[in-house]
Amino acid sequence: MLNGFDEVFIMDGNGPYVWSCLVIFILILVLNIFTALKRKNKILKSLKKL
Amino acid sequence: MGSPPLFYKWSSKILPWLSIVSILILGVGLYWGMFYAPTDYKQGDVYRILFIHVPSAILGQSIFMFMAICGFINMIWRAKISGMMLKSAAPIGASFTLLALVTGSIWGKPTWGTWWVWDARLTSTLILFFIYAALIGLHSTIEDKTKADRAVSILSIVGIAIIPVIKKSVDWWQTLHQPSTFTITSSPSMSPDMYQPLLICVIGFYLFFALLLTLNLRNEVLEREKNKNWVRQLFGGLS
Repeated sequence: MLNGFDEVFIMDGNGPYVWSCLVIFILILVLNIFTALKRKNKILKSLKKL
Repeated sequence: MGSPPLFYKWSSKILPWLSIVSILILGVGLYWGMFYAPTDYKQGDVYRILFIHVPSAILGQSIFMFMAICGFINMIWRAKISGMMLKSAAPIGASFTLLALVTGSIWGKPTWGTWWVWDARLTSTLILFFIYAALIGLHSTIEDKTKADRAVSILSIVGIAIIPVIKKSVDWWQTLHQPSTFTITSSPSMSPDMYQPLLICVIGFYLFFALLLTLNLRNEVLEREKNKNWVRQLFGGLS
């Protein structure tokens, strides 16, 4: 198990590569959810007008 | 399940549970992989990218196969929901294929010494991403939704040929990319301490796909059926 700041974030020097992948992954998930919710709101607004 | 109103009603019940389970499993898998899995004796800690890269690559290909099946159903039985599924799944598939390409590129820098090589596995995955982009573009350019669904169905059925090429690219050509991590025919070559969190991540990614697909599909159903009685009754309180 990884313990301490250096071990977790820096790892063996390749930590930034690993963490940047995790950040991109989270960004993609958030973007997909955000797009879906934004579209839902838009549809609900158009339904109100009907 | 083939009828849009039935899907909408059913998905409303399953959505909260799906959200909780997918976030929980994905969280456990990633936490296990990032903090508890042992360091690789050859690659060191950079191998931990595997817990994101491999599931996203598997998912990118699986979503395309799912789309080809939807396309086939849409062509043969003209099921309305299958066309909606095609449109809803395409951006998710493109996202995960892009994620596999980007994380693979980041992993390539410390291990291969370069961000990108025109390797058979990488190039065929890039082609898959372009096919996804073409599917999304094609659907948005055709105004008639039924015609758009049929065109995308044909392209997804034809495009399925890329999947065995991606899968077999490491066997057919000399590549920098390592052989497949998951195979049906043989037992895993990696330690169970690494394989178990990877398996949980893969399950978490699939569940997350199910969640995103449900969200997109509900929107698609509402948009296409907004003039139908069941939608008017359901959202009658809005007006």
